[in-house]
Amino acid sequence: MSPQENRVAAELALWGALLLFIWMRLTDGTVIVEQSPGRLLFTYLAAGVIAAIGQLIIRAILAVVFRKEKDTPADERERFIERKADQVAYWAGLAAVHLVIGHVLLTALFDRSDVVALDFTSPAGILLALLTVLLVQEIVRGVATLVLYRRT
Amino acid sequence: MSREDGKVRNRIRDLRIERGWSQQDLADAVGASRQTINAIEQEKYSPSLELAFRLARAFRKEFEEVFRYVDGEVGKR
Repeated sequence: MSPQENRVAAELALWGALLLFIWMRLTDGTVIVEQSPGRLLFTYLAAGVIAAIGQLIIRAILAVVFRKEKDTPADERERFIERKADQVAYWAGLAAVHLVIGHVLLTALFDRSDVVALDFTSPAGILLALLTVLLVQEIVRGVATLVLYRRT
Repeated sequence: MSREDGKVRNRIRDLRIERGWSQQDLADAVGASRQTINAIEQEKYSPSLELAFRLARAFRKEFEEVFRYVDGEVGKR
Protein backbone atom coordinates (compact mmCIF):
# COMPACT_ATOMS: atom_id res chain seq x y z
CA MET A 1 0.00 0.00 0.00
CA SER A 2 1.18 3.51 -0.81
CA PRO A 3 1.67 6.09 2.00
CA GLN A 4 -1.60 7.76 0.94
CA GLU A 5 -3.52 4.48 1.24
CA ASN A 6 -1.98 3.82 4.64
CA ARG A 7 -3.00 7.28 5.82
CA VAL A 8 -6.57 6.80 4.62
CA ALA A 9 -6.79 3.35 6.23
CA ALA A 10 -5.46 4.66 9.56
CA GLU A 11 -7.87 7.61 9.44
CA LEU A 12 -10.73 5.20 8.77
CA ALA A 13 -9.90 3.46 12.03
CA LEU A 14 -9.80 6.87 13.76
CA TRP A 15 -13.25 7.86 12.41
CA GLY A 16 -14.66 4.48 13.43
CA ALA A 17 -13.26 4.87 16.96
CA LEU A 18 -14.61 8.42 17.16
CA LEU A 19 -18.08 7.25 16.05
CA LEU A 20 -17.99 4.59 18.75
CA PHE A 21 -16.88 7.19 21.34
CA ILE A 22 -19.76 9.53 20.44
CA TRP A 23 -22.36 6.77 20.51
CA MET A 24 -21.03 5.53 23.84
CA ARG A 25 -21.16 9.07 25.30
CA LEU A 26 -24.60 10.01 23.98
CA THR A 27 -26.59 6.79 23.96
CA ASP A 28 -27.35 3.85 26.13
CA GLY A 29 -27.08 1.37 23.31
CA THR A 30 -30.08 2.42 21.22
CA VAL A 31 -31.63 5.09 23.46
CA ILE A 32 -30.33 8.65 23.50
CA VAL A 33 -29.38 9.70 27.01
CA GLU A 34 -30.25 13.30 27.88
CA GLN A 35 -27.34 15.20 29.36
CA SER A 36 -26.47 18.64 30.66
CA PRO A 37 -25.41 21.25 28.08
CA GLY A 38 -21.95 21.32 29.66
CA ARG A 39 -21.50 17.60 29.18
CA LEU A 40 -22.72 17.84 25.59
CA LEU A 41 -20.27 20.66 24.89
CA PHE A 42 -17.47 18.61 26.44
CA THR A 43 -18.36 15.64 24.21
CA TYR A 44 -18.36 17.87 21.13
CA LEU A 45 -15.02 19.50 21.99
CA ALA A 46 -13.47 16.18 22.99
CA ALA A 47 -14.47 14.70 19.62
CA GLY A 48 -12.77 17.61 17.85
CA VAL A 49 -9.60 17.29 19.94
CA ILE A 50 -9.46 13.49 19.44
CA ALA A 51 -9.90 13.96 15.66
CA ALA A 52 -7.14 16.61 15.45
CA ILE A 53 -4.65 14.80 17.70
CA GLY A 54 -5.43 11.45 16.08
CA GLN A 55 -4.68 12.84 12.61
CA LEU A 56 -1.46 14.45 13.85
CA ILE A 57 -0.31 11.15 15.37
CA ILE A 58 -1.18 9.21 12.20
CA ARG A 59 0.75 11.66 10.01
CA ALA A 60 3.74 11.64 12.38
CA ILE A 61 3.89 7.83 12.48
CA LEU A 62 3.54 7.54 8.69
CA ALA A 63 6.21 10.21 8.18
CA VAL A 64 8.61 8.05 10.22
CA VAL A 65 7.57 4.74 8.59
CA PHE A 66 7.82 6.14 5.04
CA ARG A 67 10.79 8.48 5.67
CA LYS A 68 12.74 6.82 2.83
CA GLU A 69 10.01 7.48 0.26
CA LYS A 70 10.17 10.70 -1.71
CA ASP A 71 7.66 13.30 -0.55
CA THR A 72 5.98 13.94 -3.90
CA PRO A 73 2.89 16.10 -4.28
CA ALA A 74 -0.33 14.33 -5.31
CA ASP A 75 -0.28 13.55 -9.02
CA GLU A 76 -3.25 13.65 -11.40
CA ARG A 77 -4.47 10.12 -10.61
CA GLU A 78 -4.43 10.81 -6.88
CA ARG A 79 -6.30 14.08 -7.43
CA PHE A 80 -8.81 12.20 -9.62
CA ILE A 81 -9.32 9.64 -6.84
CA GLU A 82 -9.78 12.43 -4.26
CA ARG A 83 -12.39 14.14 -6.45
CA LYS A 84 -14.29 10.89 -7.01
CA ALA A 85 -14.19 10.03 -3.29
CA ASP A 86 -15.43 13.56 -2.47
CA GLN A 87 -18.37 13.02 -4.84
CA VAL A 88 -19.25 9.69 -3.21
CA ALA A 89 -18.96 11.25 0.27
CA TYR A 90 -21.20 14.15 -0.81
CA TRP A 91 -23.97 11.77 -1.89
CA ALA A 92 -23.54 9.65 1.25
CA GLY A 93 -23.80 12.79 3.41
CA LEU A 94 -26.89 13.91 1.52
CA ALA A 95 -28.50 10.49 1.95
CA ALA A 96 -27.67 10.49 5.67
CA VAL A 97 -29.16 13.98 6.17
CA HIS A 98 -32.36 12.94 4.38
CA LEU A 99 -32.51 9.79 6.47
CA VAL A 100 -32.38 11.89 9.65
CA ILE A 101 -35.01 14.32 8.30
CA GLY A 102 -37.25 11.43 7.31
CA HIS A 103 -36.80 9.80 10.70
CA VAL A 104 -37.64 13.02 12.59
CA LEU A 105 -40.65 13.92 10.43
CA LEU A 106 -42.14 10.44 10.24
CA THR A 107 -41.73 9.93 14.00
CA ALA A 108 -43.51 13.26 14.63
CA LEU A 109 -46.15 12.60 11.98
CA PHE A 110 -47.17 9.24 13.33
CA ASP A 111 -46.46 10.21 16.95
CA ARG A 112 -44.50 7.05 17.60
CA SER A 113 -41.79 8.53 19.83
CA ASP A 114 -42.81 5.92 22.40
CA VAL A 115 -41.52 3.09 20.20
CA VAL A 116 -38.73 4.88 18.29
CA ALA A 117 -35.72 4.91 20.56
CA LEU A 118 -33.62 7.49 18.75
CA ASP A 119 -35.19 10.90 19.32
CA PHE A 120 -33.16 13.31 17.21
CA THR A 121 -35.15 16.36 18.36
CA SER A 122 -33.44 16.83 21.72
CA PRO A 123 -30.07 18.66 22.04
CA ALA A 124 -28.27 15.33 22.60
CA GLY A 125 -30.14 13.83 19.66
CA ILE A 126 -29.26 16.71 17.34
CA LEU A 127 -25.59 16.51 18.37
CA LEU A 128 -25.59 12.75 17.87
CA ALA A 129 -27.28 12.99 14.46
CA LEU A 130 -25.00 15.75 13.13
CA LEU A 131 -21.75 14.19 14.36
CA THR A 132 -22.84 10.78 13.04
CA VAL A 133 -23.61 12.26 9.60
CA LEU A 134 -20.19 13.97 9.52
CA LEU A 135 -18.36 10.81 10.57
CA VAL A 136 -20.32 8.56 8.22
CA GLN A 137 -19.39 10.95 5.43
CA GLU A 138 -15.69 10.69 6.36
CA ILE A 139 -15.91 6.89 6.62
CA VAL A 140 -17.58 6.65 3.19
CA ARG A 141 -14.92 8.99 1.75
CA GLY A 142 -12.16 6.77 3.17
CA VAL A 143 -13.69 3.53 1.93
CA ALA A 144 -14.31 5.05 -1.52
CA THR A 145 -10.70 6.28 -1.65
CA LEU A 146 -9.31 2.83 -0.79
CA VAL A 147 -11.59 1.12 -3.34
CA LEU A 148 -10.62 3.65 -6.02
CA TYR A 149 -6.90 3.16 -5.31
CA ARG A 150 -7.44 -0.57 -6.00
CA ARG A 151 -9.61 -0.14 -9.09
CA THR A 152 -8.09 2.92 -10.76
CA MET B 1 -27.84 1.41 -32.40
CA SER B 2 -25.54 2.31 -29.54
CA ARG B 3 -21.80 2.60 -29.30
CA GLU B 4 -20.17 1.45 -26.07
CA ASP B 5 -17.28 3.46 -24.70
CA GLY B 6 -13.97 2.87 -26.41
CA LYS B 7 -10.70 2.28 -24.63
CA VAL B 8 -7.29 3.91 -24.73
CA ARG B 9 -4.62 1.24 -25.18
CA ASN B 10 -0.92 1.91 -24.72
CA ARG B 11 2.54 0.38 -25.22
CA ILE B 12 4.14 1.98 -22.18
CA ARG B 13 5.14 -1.25 -20.48
CA ASP B 14 6.84 -2.59 -23.66
CA LEU B 15 8.63 0.69 -24.36
CA ARG B 16 9.76 1.02 -20.75
CA ILE B 17 11.14 -2.53 -20.63
CA GLU B 18 12.87 -2.02 -24.00
CA ARG B 19 14.77 0.86 -22.44
CA GLY B 20 15.49 -0.94 -19.20
CA TRP B 21 13.68 1.65 -17.12
CA SER B 22 11.87 0.93 -13.88
CA GLN B 23 8.39 2.30 -13.25
CA GLN B 24 9.97 4.74 -10.79
CA ASP B 25 12.42 5.98 -13.44
CA LEU B 26 9.57 6.70 -15.82
CA ALA B 27 7.46 8.24 -13.03
CA ASP B 28 10.32 10.61 -12.15
CA ALA B 29 10.79 11.51 -15.82
CA VAL B 30 7.16 12.55 -16.32
CA GLY B 31 6.33 13.86 -12.84
CA ALA B 32 3.88 11.18 -11.77
CA SER B 33 3.87 8.56 -9.03
CA ARG B 34 5.04 4.98 -9.58
CA GLN B 35 1.52 3.78 -8.74
CA THR B 36 0.11 5.97 -11.50
CA ILE B 37 2.54 4.55 -14.06
CA ASN B 38 1.54 1.05 -12.92
CA ALA B 39 -2.17 1.90 -13.27
CA ILE B 40 -1.60 3.33 -16.78
CA GLU B 41 0.39 0.25 -17.84
CA GLN B 42 -2.42 -2.00 -16.63
CA GLU B 43 -4.88 0.27 -18.47
CA LYS B 44 -6.86 0.80 -15.28
CA TYR B 45 -6.35 4.55 -15.60
CA SER B 46 -6.34 6.74 -18.71
CA PRO B 47 -3.89 9.61 -18.30
CA SER B 48 -4.74 13.22 -19.08
CA LEU B 49 -3.62 14.54 -22.46
CA GLU B 50 -0.79 16.45 -20.78
CA LEU B 51 0.59 13.36 -19.05
CA ALA B 52 0.08 11.24 -22.17
CA PHE B 53 2.14 13.70 -24.21
CA ARG B 54 4.83 13.79 -21.52
CA LEU B 55 4.99 9.98 -21.60
CA ALA B 56 5.32 9.92 -25.40
CA ARG B 57 8.01 12.59 -25.21
CA ALA B 58 9.90 10.61 -22.55
CA PHE B 59 10.13 7.72 -25.03
CA ARG B 60 10.93 10.11 -27.91
CA LYS B 61 7.95 8.75 -29.79
CA GLU B 62 4.99 10.28 -31.56
CA PHE B 63 1.83 10.28 -29.50
CA GLU B 64 0.13 7.63 -31.64
CA GLU B 65 3.10 5.31 -31.42
CA VAL B 66 2.46 5.07 -27.69
CA PHE B 67 -1.32 5.45 -27.42
CA ARG B 68 -4.18 4.29 -29.60
CA TYR B 69 -7.89 4.52 -29.22
CA VAL B 70 -9.88 1.33 -29.71
CA ASP B 71 -13.53 1.78 -30.56
CA GLY B 72 -16.12 0.08 -28.37
CA GLU B 73 -18.51 -2.58 -29.58
CA VAL B 74 -21.31 -1.38 -31.83
CA GLY B 75 -24.55 -3.10 -30.97
CA LYS B 76 -28.30 -2.81 -31.15
CA ARG B 77 -30.10 -1.38 -28.15
